[in-house]
Amino acid sequence: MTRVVRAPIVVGLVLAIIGFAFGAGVLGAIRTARGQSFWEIEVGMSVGYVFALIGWLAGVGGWQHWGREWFGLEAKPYTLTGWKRYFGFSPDHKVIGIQYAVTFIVVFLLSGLTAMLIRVELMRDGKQIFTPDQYNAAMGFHGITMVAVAVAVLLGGFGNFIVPLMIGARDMAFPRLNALTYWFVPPVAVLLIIAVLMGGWESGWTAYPPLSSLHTKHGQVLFNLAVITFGLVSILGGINFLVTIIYERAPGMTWSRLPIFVWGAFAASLISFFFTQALAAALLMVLLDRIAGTSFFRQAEGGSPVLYEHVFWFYSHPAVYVMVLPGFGAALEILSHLSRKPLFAYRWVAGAMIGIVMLSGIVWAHHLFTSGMAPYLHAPFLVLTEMISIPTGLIFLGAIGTIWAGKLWLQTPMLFALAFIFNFLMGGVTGIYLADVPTDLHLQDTYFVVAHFHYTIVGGEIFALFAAIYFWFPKFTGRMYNETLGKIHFWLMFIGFQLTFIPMFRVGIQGMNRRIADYPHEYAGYNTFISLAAFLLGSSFLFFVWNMASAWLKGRVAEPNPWRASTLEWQVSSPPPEHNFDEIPVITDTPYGYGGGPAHHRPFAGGALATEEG
Amino acid sequence: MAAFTEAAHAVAHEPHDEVKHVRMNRLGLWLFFASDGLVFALLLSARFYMNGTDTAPDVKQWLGLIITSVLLISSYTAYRGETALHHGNVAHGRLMLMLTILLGVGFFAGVVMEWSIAEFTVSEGYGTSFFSMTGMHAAHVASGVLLLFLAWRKAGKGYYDGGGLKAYGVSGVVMYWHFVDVVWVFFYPALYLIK
Amino acid sequence: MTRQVSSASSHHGGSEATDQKRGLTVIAMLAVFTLVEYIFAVVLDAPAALVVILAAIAVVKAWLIVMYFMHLPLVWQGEEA
Ligand code: HEM
Ligand SMILES: [Cu+2]
Repeated sequence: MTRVVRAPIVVGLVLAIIGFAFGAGVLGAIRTARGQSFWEIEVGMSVGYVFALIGWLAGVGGWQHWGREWFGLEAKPYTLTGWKRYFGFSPDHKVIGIQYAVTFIVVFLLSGLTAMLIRVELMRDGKQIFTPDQYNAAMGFHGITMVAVAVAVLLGGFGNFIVPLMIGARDMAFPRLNALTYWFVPPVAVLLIIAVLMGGWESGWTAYPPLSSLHTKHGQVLFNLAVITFGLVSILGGINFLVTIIYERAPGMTWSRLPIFVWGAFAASLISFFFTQALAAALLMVLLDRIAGTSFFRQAEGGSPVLYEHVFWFYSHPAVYVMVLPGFGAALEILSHLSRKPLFAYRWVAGAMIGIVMLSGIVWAHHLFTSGMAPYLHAPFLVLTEMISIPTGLIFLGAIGTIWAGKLWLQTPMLFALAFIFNFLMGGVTGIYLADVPTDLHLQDTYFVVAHFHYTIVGGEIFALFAAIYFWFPKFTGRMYNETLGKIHFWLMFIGFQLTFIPMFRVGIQGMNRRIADYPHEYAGYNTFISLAAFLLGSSFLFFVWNMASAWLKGRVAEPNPWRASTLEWQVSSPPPEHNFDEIPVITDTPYGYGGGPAHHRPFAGGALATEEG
Repeated sequence: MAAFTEAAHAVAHEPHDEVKHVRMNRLGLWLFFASDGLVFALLLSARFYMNGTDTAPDVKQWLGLIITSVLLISSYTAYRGETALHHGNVAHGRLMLMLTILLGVGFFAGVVMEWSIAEFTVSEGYGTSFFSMTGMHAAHVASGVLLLFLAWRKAGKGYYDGGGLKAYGVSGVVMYWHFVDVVWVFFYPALYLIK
Repeated sequence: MTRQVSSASSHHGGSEATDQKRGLTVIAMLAVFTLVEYIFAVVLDAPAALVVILAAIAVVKAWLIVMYFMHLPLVWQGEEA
């Protein structure tokens, strides 16, 4: 009994509740003293939440293992072992990686389920299962949770688990910060779910004012708090990756020998540490307009909703590259290993990733072509946006060059990585029509945009995510997934995905608006087809879940290096030992030494590693 | 980049090297400053976006000058304290940290006073900028005071005895304090002086 | 392993006394710049020029703090052991 009571999550919950009561109570007392009502829901929730968050982080382990030191006390040792580590404050990057990966995959499935409900509603014109209000709630929840998953799952899950191994480090640069950062995530999910239970919010995932800043539903406040918290995850995580990659590389692991996934994580971290706060700032402004009476977005006082769009997209365009750069990295990594060929044009690809980082910060206003912003801004943002296709194209050539004349090993991860190339091409090409002002004026706010970004994010990043899941599953768990189930998952997902989103381009061009619960009868045929295809897509995840669950519990025990891959993480046992390496390896060659000599020995001088061969 | 590479190589043989630890902490802290600084930069841009270069005529110039001076002086005492602790001079270092704390509290009180006597409201265009910018800044001041206090306490318990790298903890806190001052260097003219 | 201790004198390189003296110099400069700022704001009646001047002074002040109080160069120069 006492053991349950002392479990970190329980302590965190208790302190969160106490924190909330404290914050809301003090606020109420101040309000009462000033002659206002004790409880005002939006201010009360905001202030209470800040203290609840502090309580939660302290309770879940932040105080025991870290905060005490700030007060001149000894930090407590880490005592949790086995599966319990995953439910506590653990500084081990491998534990944290699995925490992120599992959390976000659960959120992904939940959010996917919401998408299925949305497709049920849109199956026919007229009303099916939702009121327009409920439709908004479902759509907003689906949008923001999927964005959160896309931003964090590859970097948080795979970045944390794989990057330190790949660069020959024992852990991340700031292990405790890393643990603390993860524990910001559950409050985000809880807030969003409570917001939905309270009736949701009207403004989708982008929270445009004035809809979000007027006194609309209270769920908006929780949405803002959640997303600001999530911004912190992204920023702190980004800083941790940057310092890790700069300072924790093993001897000989020069910048030109970094596996490409590490480059992807590095580039994405540059964006997330330098742009995410714009999102937080934009949502903070909305929050202040609601609870503190400021006028950021009130035209009459000199404020402007367009200000929000600028600040919001200043982050949210770069954010799409936070999503997709680790995706590029993972896909290229897998393409190279499973084609048995060195990555083609490695330096150009790494350079292109950094080029994308730089360009991504100066194209945001392509989301504002129809917002009424000054017209002289149209041309420069059109041109700058189109320029991104140059580095993106280089990465593409890298992918094509890598599989060209390779000996493709068509296992599940490889299939997903190949699909990534195709899908992302579709996404990128359709982006051009949106970046061109004349076509965008017509396409803005239609299903064409919906199809475009699903091709880039789902077709690109999420396909790369599944490639990564299957590829690194043996390393994470020490067990092998079932290849047949994996292939079934792939084909259902691939076909379902194409059938769902290609027709969306068509209805979009015909003028069907996005974010609507009902539509003119003329679009019904397409939508029925889309919904059925979406159910096919959804069903593929049943095979995924089944495969993962059964493999993790009772799958075949995996060898350390089932792919005969040459990067460092495959040279240690599966799962890797506690501090990754018995002795820090010394790197003497590129990570993709295929084609000359025994590949899996190339990076190491004298085989200084614990487990040499798979 | 080359410099990073060589340095990382040199220290990789001794993974728990204290020097490397401090270097990593320092870089991490600067990245945080860049990140946090952008929030302030965005608020500053919003101020110009909304109000152009107008100042509210009724902002209290004398109060602005006083609190600006107080914060500036506190940056100096912080520097003095950090330098003293770095050289192992704990007593002087603590005195200076305490002075910094008091000046910080003074600044905070000045902002509170400013808020209570302001002749414009938060819902006016200028008031929106003024209150959000000073509020955000004051929140940083408050957390800085808290951190300085913790450093002062730890210094009293002998955590920084000997100075050098051992006193890095103080440096981190003091750097944060200077960061807050740098923000004010931009906010002061933007909120008070331009017309 | 030799660590560069630069002569850029932006950080605690010398004795305590010299370090403290540097701090005094920097704060004196900051004080002067602040005063100049204030005087410009009072006497200058050209809003556009004022914005430019104040921005320039602010950048200089920030640079002083960042380089000499916050020891930015240590990020790439490394610590003195
Ligand atoms: C080749 C490069 C790309 C170009 C030229 C491009 C262009 C655009 C443009 C102009 C829009 C605004 C459309 C409108 O609202 O009228 C847009 C929307 C969007 N794009 Fe892209 N894009 C590209 C790549 C990507 C990538 C890589 C991602 C994500 C991984 C992405 C995700 C999105 C999202 C989420 C939206 C919709 C935002 C919303 O309104 O909710 N795009 N894209
Ligand atoms: Cu964009």
